[in-house]
Amino acid sequence: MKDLIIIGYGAAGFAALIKANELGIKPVLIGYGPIGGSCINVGCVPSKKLISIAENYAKLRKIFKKDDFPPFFDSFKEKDNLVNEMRKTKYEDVISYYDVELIEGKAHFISEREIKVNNLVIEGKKFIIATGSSPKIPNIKGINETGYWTNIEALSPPNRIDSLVILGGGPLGLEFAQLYRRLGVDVALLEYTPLLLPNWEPEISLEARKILEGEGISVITNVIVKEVKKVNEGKIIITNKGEIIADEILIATGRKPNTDDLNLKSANVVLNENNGIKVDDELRTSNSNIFAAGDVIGEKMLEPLAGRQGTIAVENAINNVHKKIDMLSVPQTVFIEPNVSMVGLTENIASRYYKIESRLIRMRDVPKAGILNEEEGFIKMIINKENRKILGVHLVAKNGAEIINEAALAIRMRSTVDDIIDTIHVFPTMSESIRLASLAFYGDINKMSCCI
Amino acid sequence: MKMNLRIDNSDLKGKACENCGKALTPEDVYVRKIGSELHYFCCSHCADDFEGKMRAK
Repeated sequence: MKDLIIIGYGAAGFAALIKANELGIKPVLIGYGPIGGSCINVGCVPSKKLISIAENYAKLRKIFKKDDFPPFFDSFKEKDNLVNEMRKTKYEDVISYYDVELIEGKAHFISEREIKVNNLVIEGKKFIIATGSSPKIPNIKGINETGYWTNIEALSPPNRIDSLVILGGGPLGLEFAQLYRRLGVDVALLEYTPLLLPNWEPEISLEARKILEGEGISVITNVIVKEVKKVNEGKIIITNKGEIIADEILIATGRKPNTDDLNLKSANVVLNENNGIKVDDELRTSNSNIFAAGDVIGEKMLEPLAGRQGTIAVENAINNVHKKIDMLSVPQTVFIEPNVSMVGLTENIASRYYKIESRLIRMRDVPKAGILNEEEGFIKMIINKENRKILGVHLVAKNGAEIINEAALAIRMRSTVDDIIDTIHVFPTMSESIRLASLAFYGDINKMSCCI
Repeated sequence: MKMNLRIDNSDLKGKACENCGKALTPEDVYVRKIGSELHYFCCSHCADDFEGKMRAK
């Protein structure tokens, strides 16, 4: 019988492997497809590389007022080079440093303690399920006959396109909308709910819309897609608000946990309302010997969270140390430019549990933003009025993904605005905006000198 | 092919602050979810005022 079986070799699976070795356990690691999972192959790494290429050209166009766009296929080749290199150094090479029994294949449970992979039955004491997620395809009339892209095709397009309709105004939809617009493609972004990024702070949603529309993207919210069809030159999208004809359709309506092929019933593992694996706050499933980590849980689908969950799942599975993740301090960013980031609670949710106070300051009031000529955006902070502890930070800002890490640490440490004010920040920096937002609880920052 | 967009996308057009009636622009709009509905205001003060009145009812 094996001590530990890890199913899935993406971020969560690898983190689980590394922790298992630290604890003196040689696990069995099972996976299929390119090693490393979604993030390195068809997720964060390739998309952020392409966004970076497109951003450089956007800057050049802004400075030199020339209409130059990145070379379409060369941009994707540059992305491929980085992905291949990082997959090798961060996953393929890494696995050789560890003591592991690697099996390539699709595993499924046949009992509470056994899995089957490649006709091989393996019994285990403990299991970590880390099988990730896949694009969720909405049930739209004609979608399968017409064909569509997901993130996979959008990151390695089979052909050059001039126009793209994106279904879904969540993080993926927004990032691809700006990326393809910056590659010189006409883009329309369609969202079913009244606001882009529907679960984010409403001001963030509106600012994101303003940014995208400012770049020439057609943003259509409150829209229901009724049917899609092929037409002579492209594809037609029929909605309750009218029709759009474009070269291609990209589906970015969310992701579903990869649980279908695991035969979880035979292991007595139950699912949650998102069709992900139901876990307690120690990542234990309904079977106390089976743990889950990463996207397969069906909640926040974030690479760094998946990695941490992989680590903690192994510690709890092997040593039963009752570790938990502080979900309140998990930050996230949509990598449009300027970045859109959040950590903690929205004002609406915070107000259900606490007496709150909030402040919003504009990036134009942050000295470094003026220096960089990057004054678009704002930062909003929500605090508990009774003890001044920070409950949520929401921002749109140049380098926002870097700024939000400080807010995450502040929330993780249950810091107050006074802790932030008492922390001297480097001047001038964008992250100083966190301190300025804290100062705004005591006065009008427009009436303050640069360093106070 | 260039995109052919035949859509009526008039969501925010003509929207006014639900508290004071001031016409809204994407720059000054302040949205607050009260109950299950999104409400549109020109500033947080109007949102507070509106929410206070709703609670008083």
